[in-house]
Amino acid sequence: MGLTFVFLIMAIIYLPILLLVFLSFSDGLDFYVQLFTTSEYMSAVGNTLLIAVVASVIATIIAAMAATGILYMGKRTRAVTMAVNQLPVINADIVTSFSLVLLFVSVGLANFGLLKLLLAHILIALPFCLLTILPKMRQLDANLIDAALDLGASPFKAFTSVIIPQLVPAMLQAFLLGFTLSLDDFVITQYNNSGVPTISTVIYGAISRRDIPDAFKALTTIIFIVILIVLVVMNLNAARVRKGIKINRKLVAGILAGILLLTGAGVIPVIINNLTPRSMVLKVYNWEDYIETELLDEFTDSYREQLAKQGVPNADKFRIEYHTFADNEELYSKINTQHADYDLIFPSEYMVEKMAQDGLLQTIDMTRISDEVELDQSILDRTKPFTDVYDANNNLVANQVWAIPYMIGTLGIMYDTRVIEKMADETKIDLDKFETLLTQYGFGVLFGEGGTTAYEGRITMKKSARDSIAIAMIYSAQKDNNPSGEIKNAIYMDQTDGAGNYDNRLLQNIINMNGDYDIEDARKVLMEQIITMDPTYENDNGKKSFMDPNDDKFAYGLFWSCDAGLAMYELMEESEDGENPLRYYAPNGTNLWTDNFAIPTYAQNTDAAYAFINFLLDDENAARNIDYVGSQMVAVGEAIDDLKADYEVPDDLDNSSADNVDGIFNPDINYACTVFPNADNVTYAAIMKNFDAQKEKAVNTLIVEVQNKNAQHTEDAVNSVNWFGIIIIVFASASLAWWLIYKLTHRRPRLKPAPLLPEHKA
Amino acid sequence: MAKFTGEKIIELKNVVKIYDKEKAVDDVSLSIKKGDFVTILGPSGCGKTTILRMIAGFEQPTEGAIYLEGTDVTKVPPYKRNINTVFQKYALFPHLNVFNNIAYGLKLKTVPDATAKKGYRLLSQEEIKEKVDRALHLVDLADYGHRDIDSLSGGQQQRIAIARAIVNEPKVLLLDEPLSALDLKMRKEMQIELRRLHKELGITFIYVTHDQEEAMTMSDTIVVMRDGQIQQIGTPKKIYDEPQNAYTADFIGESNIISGKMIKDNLVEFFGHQFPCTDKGFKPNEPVDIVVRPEDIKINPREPQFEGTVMNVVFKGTFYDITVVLDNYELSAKNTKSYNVGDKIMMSIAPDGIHVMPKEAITNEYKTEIVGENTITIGDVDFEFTPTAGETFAKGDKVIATIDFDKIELTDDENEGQISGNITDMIYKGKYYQVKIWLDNDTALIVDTPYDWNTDDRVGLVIKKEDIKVRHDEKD
Amino acid sequence: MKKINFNTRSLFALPYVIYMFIFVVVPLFMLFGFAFFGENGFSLDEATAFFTDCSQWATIGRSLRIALTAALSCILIGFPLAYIIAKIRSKTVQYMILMALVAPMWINGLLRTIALKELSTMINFEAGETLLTLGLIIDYLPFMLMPIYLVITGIPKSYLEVSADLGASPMVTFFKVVLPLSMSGIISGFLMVFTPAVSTYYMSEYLGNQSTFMIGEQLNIMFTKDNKSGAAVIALVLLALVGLSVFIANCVSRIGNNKKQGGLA
Repeated sequence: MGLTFVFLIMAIIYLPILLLVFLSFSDGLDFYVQLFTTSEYMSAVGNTLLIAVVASVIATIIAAMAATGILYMGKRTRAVTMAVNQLPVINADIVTSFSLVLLFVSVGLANFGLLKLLLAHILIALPFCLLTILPKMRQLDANLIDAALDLGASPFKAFTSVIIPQLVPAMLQAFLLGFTLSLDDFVITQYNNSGVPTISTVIYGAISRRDIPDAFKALTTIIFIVILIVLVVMNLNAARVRKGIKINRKLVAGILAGILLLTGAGVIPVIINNLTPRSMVLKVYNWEDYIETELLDEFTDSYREQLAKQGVPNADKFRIEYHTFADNEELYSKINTQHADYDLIFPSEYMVEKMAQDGLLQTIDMTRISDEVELDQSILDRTKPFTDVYDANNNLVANQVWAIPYMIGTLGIMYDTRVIEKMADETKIDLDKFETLLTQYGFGVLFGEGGTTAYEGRITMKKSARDSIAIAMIYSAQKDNNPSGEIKNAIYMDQTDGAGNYDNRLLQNIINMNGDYDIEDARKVLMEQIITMDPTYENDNGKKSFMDPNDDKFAYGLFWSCDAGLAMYELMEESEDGENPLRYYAPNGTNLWTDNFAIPTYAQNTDAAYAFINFLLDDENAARNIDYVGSQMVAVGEAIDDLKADYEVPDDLDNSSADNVDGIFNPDINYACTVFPNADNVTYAAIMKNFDAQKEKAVNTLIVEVQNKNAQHTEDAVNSVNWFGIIIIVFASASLAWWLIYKLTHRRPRLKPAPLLPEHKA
Repeated sequence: MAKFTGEKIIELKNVVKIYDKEKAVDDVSLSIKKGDFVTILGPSGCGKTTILRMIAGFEQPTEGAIYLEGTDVTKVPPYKRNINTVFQKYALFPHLNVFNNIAYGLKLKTVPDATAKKGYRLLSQEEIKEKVDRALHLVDLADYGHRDIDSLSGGQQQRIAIARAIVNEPKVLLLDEPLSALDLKMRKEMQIELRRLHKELGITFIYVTHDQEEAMTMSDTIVVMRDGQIQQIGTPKKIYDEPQNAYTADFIGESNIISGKMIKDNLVEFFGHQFPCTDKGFKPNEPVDIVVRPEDIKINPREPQFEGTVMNVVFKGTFYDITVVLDNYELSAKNTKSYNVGDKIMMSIAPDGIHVMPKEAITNEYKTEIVGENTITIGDVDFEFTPTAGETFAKGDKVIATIDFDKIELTDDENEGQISGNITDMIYKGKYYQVKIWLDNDTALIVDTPYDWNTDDRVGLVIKKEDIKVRHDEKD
Repeated sequence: MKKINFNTRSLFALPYVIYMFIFVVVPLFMLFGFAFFGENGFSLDEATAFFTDCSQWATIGRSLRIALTAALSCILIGFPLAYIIAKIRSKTVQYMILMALVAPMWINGLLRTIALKELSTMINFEAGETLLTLGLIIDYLPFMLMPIYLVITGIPKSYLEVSADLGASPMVTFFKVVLPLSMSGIISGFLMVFTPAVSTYYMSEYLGNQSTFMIGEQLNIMFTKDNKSGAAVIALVLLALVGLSVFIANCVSRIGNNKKQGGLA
């Protein structure tokens, strides 16, 4: 009965892990091969092990010394020390991590990479190590160390020859505990990481865009097997002990050696990597899943050749160190506060502006871009405002830019045709009607226009502040101008300059909250949206819910075209007929985003960075990259035209025509339209500008406020009380109260009677 | 072998040791002759072990200096002092066997060697083995070298601990309650053994114990300590016969301690009777403590002085331990004859059986200051008091509060008291117990209480406001 | 003047003390610095902004509720679990089970969280407060299990025998002897689970839905958007919540023991 319970709990704990173990074999042993051949994964594993082992060894030694010292401290010093020791134990991880960040930033240690992580991980392990060793230390005869000193040993000698041998079992325990906590940690690593890939940061980078990297499913299996081996060894060893054989020191030593060997296997490549001269490394910091990985290897090969031709020694040592980030702010803080020495980064448009302002970027010399590279001028025209470089006298500097666009796309609505159709009876909106509504109301459908309130609770918004607020601003302006909420007569759609061309300055003002437009507009519609639509604010991983055929929760939501493209692509790959139930539509009057090549001030290998830019902008490479990533690049050329033809991208397309069911909403070409924004999309779009501190704070505050309100509203509205939680809390508080009252009313009276006889001391 | 040259080997000058603001050793000066067997005797917490540890070098005095053979060694670390210690629970290294335990110090030792590069060398294996074997032999445990520490009995471990210390040929051997973990029979044996070793080795032994009997049987000199201060130094006989105060008398041997007053020289009053005595030099009618050893009370003598009732009789082998009640006092007497419980008996005490000593204090005089209207602090807690007519106090005035010993009530639950503290020592005074209580701010109060407490008990104190008498501190 | 008497042996703790001072004490003061000192010196703007927004209080309340549910459930599961394990006769089996329950931590916490999310999607279990609570329980159960196990195994067997000898049934012995003596383990276990649960952010992000927005997430948003002073205010609020729970736990254990006792764990 009892053991059944134990195994039940164990089963629940292991179930998710076993799922990963199971999934790790879904492609034969491919995932394992991936794990061991992908340098990013291997260095992540190596770094993680290196940090865990070194940090816990150091923590164990410091703790053993401290345990010795604490025994000899005065009462008060000891009390204070122990109280301070409890702080990180009790304190929330996130608070500890954040306060460490403040420390590292303030003392300028921000870019210490591995060393910094090591210092932070010692903090994870140290208090626990001390708590493990101290009780054992207390059990030791306090006089042992005195005895050694008395017999002529120096304090150090006494520590090593008398204390350490006694503490070995406790120190092993402490080491194991520290090692475990270090491996488990995510928060402290994430907060204090300046470009050192570890298992947790790689996973974090990956899942925000797609899924658990397959290789880590394989890694989970390996760790699972290690756990099994440890359990078997424990059992075997116990059997030996039972048989009266003393604990086999050789066996213990063997296990330790094994662990060290395994660690070494992971760590040595990392160390070797670190030995490569910096000029032989290109450090790239990109969004996850934002490049055809084969291109990385191809570039490595071609650049090695190129270097060899130039007669550079050890040209074959050249390699790319490729790290990924999840959002612009993460990139910014890595470069700004941590001074990470990446050679090439991929900030979005407003981030380029911000980084250029803050002096974090070098200009890119366009003369170093190969003549063979051809760029789409219409896009470059749009990005001019943030890529142009001006000198001190505000004159345009020729041939210098802050950034070159890498990928461009739109902000739009992704919808799940399956769910729309399934809900048709309930919502009275069938798929055709829904698509008509999209063209009619644009982003208005996210705010309940045209009867879409029927989708209450079934839509998503972005946690990313800039994006959600930008579309709220657009919708607000559209509604103010046209109370019916229709997009047709929205003021920003009829702006023309003298030549009759569309003038996007008004839209630009709306998105960037300039002129008559301020954040209150967005607040108003977002707060209304909470009540009418009850949206879910998702953080990049929302598309997974759309991709899951079993998950009918969401009908549609706000998405970037690249994300939508990725989701569709995956589903097409998975399905047998190459079809997918997802569609993407970017209404006229949206945000045009770009992610751009930029070279940070702290870059150390700009030559390789230029070579890599040229390589990626080569039209053939670009075509492959577009095909893989699912987003348009700024490069043009024959190969790209072929790709477009392949995708059947229509030449002209009326983006706002509701009848255009054979066009953009056609299942066969919707994916192509997602990858390549149509002309209307590009024309009727505005680009985000960098916000000043005040505006930035306002949007960030608003998004938090909206999420707070949203959670509150859902709680109230759903009216599904969490009975389980309430019962537990009430039960616990009642029993606690009863117990306290019992204790307080039943205090033992203790009064000693006068003795009959005097008791003399011996 | 033993040389009694009278030469000082250890000297402590005005040594003070403070731990956490608490004075563990309070201005101790002491010199120890070479070759002597000196015992430092006192209850736990009296500072005796601290003194030993300072001599060994484990602690450094807060103030004062320690000399070894005339050289100041106050700041010399223990591993550079030619002094070795036998620890309370032996402190044998559990991971080393007997041989390696004893050899531990030898392996670290260097000897001058002109042929060696640095002018000195480590001892050779052979030398170490020879010395260890000799030490094992000396403690009657030859052939035990290979044994594990765990496999030895308490007595054997004790011998190994001694062997480990003396193998280094120290000038002084310190022994910190080395016999406390042994049973009675073993203890007796080891006492003899230690005397023998002391004679054979001829080195100075400094022995710390709380067992007065052990001290009496083994030492050449006894140092009695209390609350970090030396109470008396002398030979065992002198300390027993002429205790300098009630405390020493109480601690050394059995004694009755009675409150009384000195009428004049050679005449003291207690139990409502006047007794001739040999003490003089007190003020007339000065309150004093009188110490009477149980064996000095004569029962049914030719010239009886006072009467009492037998309350309890216990046979102790060669004599009877008789408890007599008179005038609310319980008196302990020893006699070879037995009496029946309830018998009325006559008693007398010869003048040299009466030891008169000044009372340590007759009332609590607590230095403090005024913190509010008719309010002072005692141990960081505010107390109201009833001012005597005519006295005025202003906030911040330095004052002395007088509280009689018997006006403080103790409670078992510290929360019921206005203030709490720890009982540090306790003397039975026939009618009541006198206890000393350290408050949390390291000041002390003395309390007379009818109840028997344990030292280290944590108690609450209740003081009525009319029992606090306050006067200005004239010195301030 | 009193001179500082540096005891040489306590110097062994020096590396530790220096490390803890730099990496625990100093950062704590920096939190206060960043929370209350802006570019223009002392300012309560961030703190006022935080405390005057009533939806923040709802978030704090929600975080407390979720964390309390998780921590109390951990007690309900962890205590019997620890008790059963401690009662197993073979020490080896005990250690093996403990090892098996703790070892999943070698797999990164984030990875396990996402694995749980995958599992729940697979069986069509909707993300939300229930899944989040479940995730918190699964993830932090070892932190509850270990202290309780250590305390239970530390109870001398003779106590149980005495209790039985005095006529107590196993049931009565459990409630009158085992449970009160395990209180310290339960309390430190509670704190070890409650704190990370109340401050979690990635768990609520992946396992929760729009109605499980927690204060840890809020701190994380502030941090990633580089709003250090806002984040510092929330960090201090979290610190206060944790401090409060430690204080309450200490009061409970003090009343429980009928005596003054500082500290925990």
